[in-house]
Amino acid sequence: MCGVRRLSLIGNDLTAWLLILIFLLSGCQLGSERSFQYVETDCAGCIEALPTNGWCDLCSHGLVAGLIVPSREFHDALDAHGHEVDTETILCNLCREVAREDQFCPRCRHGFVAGQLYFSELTWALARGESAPPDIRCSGCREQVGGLGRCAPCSTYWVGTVRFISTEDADRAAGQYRRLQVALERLSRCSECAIAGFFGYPCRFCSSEPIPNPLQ
Amino acid sequence: MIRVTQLILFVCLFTIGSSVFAGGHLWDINELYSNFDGTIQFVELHVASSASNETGMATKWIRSTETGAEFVFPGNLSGSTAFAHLLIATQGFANLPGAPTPDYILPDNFMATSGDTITWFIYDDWTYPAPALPIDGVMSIQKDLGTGQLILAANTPTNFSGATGSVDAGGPPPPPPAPTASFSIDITSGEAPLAVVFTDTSTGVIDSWSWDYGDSNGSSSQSPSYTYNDAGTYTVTLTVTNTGGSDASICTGCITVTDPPPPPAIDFVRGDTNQDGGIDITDPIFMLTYLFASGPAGCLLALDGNDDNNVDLADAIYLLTYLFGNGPDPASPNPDCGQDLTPGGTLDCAAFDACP
Repeated sequence: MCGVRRLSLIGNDLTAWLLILIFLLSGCQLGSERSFQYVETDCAGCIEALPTNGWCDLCSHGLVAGLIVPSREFHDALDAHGHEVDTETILCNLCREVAREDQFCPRCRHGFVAGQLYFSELTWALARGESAPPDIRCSGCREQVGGLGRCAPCSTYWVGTVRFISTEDADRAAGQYRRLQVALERLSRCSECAIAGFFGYPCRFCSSEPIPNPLQ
Repeated sequence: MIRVTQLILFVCLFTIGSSVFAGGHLWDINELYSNFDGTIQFVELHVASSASNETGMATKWIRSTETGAEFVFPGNLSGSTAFAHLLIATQGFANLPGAPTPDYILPDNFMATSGDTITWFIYDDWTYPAPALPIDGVMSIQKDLGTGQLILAANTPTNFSGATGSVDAGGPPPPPPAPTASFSIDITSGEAPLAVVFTDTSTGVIDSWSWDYGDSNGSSSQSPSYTYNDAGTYTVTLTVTNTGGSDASICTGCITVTDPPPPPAIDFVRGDTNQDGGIDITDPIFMLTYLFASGPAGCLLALDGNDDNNVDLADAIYLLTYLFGNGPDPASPNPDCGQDLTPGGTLDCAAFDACP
């Protein structure tokens, strides 16, 4: 058993370093004290990456709203987290206007939530929701998390591992989530099929068309 | 000390468990420039915000739809990207005096000058004409960040270090003066078919020739030959063109074509089908062989024994009746050589060996 809380009880620096060394050598799966029962993997890297839509080095895949993105290139392109930008210094007039209202700039294809910039309609739409906590006590929510659905008792909507209160926000995020699922299916052909298609371009290798936005 | 250990451990765990790379998302196309022949071009990218960590450019590309040319960033950037520019330009641009040093070199004719879509990875794409890419050496396509519209403005290439300037690569060379059209003809009249050789004698730089022979036919060759098959008077026109204009030379009614004279009449003896100088049993046999055994025809006028302008079995019977049944003589010319006195039919006679 290894974990952050147990380490906090250790008062000997040398012991701590030894434990770190042991952990590094053994590939110990950390994060076991967090439950995240709804995550299919118990990989500690994924536990860390899940709430940040980050990349799990241990499993060599990324996560976006709980969806596994096996291509590093695609995951980088999605860049599904907020970026600190002084929105008042952005040169695009429309960006500055929409940033004040946490909206999306169709001209630059950037979205804004709480002063942070998101690089696509997907990541912006997801940012308008709330990432699922490690433990979900509501059984209704536990049934819906990881997919697309509504928890009636909580009056919340789930888009993957992101929870929404607003129907409009949830619908928008669900549409982008489905586009991401289509793009992930294209990964079996080539990564550019997925990347170009998701961002509205044809694939130069497969000649596949952009994934419609919104999906029909 | 325990807290320090915990902090180190947290950092360590996060680094091992997941990671986030610097991106390149906030770079947008900022300016496109080309001179008239595509040897001096640049694509400029720009971060239009204070985002300082947009350094992840490795393997990302800029592509021309029209030419198929592609530029791939060889590595990531180093330094703050806040409000930064990236200048990717041809060597010709780099050689211009006063031009800021390009951050990367672009191949010549990367962009098509007439119309193209320049795509910057999955982040941005500009399509022209609308507006057209200026090729005057001064103006470039830029974006009005207030309206989002592409506009034309004097070029302002700026590189990653912030060095900027404005270049004048010169406009396209002036078009040559329009050529002067003229031509000669080797023969201006004759019987059909009349073969004529037209020789271009125009002066100036010529990109194309257009001949009108006056009979609804023509040519785009420089000095063509043409055969007139029908009688008539024809007006010939040559139009020569270059980028500076065109000129036409017209020769009105300069070619006259007449019908050929009828072939000379041949002397023959009607009924002497085998042309042996007399009429005997061998002549109807010759005729029957021609009619029914694909034998040679010889002179058809001679075979037309009854002079009805047809060659058929009646002619053979006519000859046999003449030879053995006291029938009338074959019509003239007979028995001496002479010409057909009843012309107008379709029968011909190219030669008759028994007559001089």
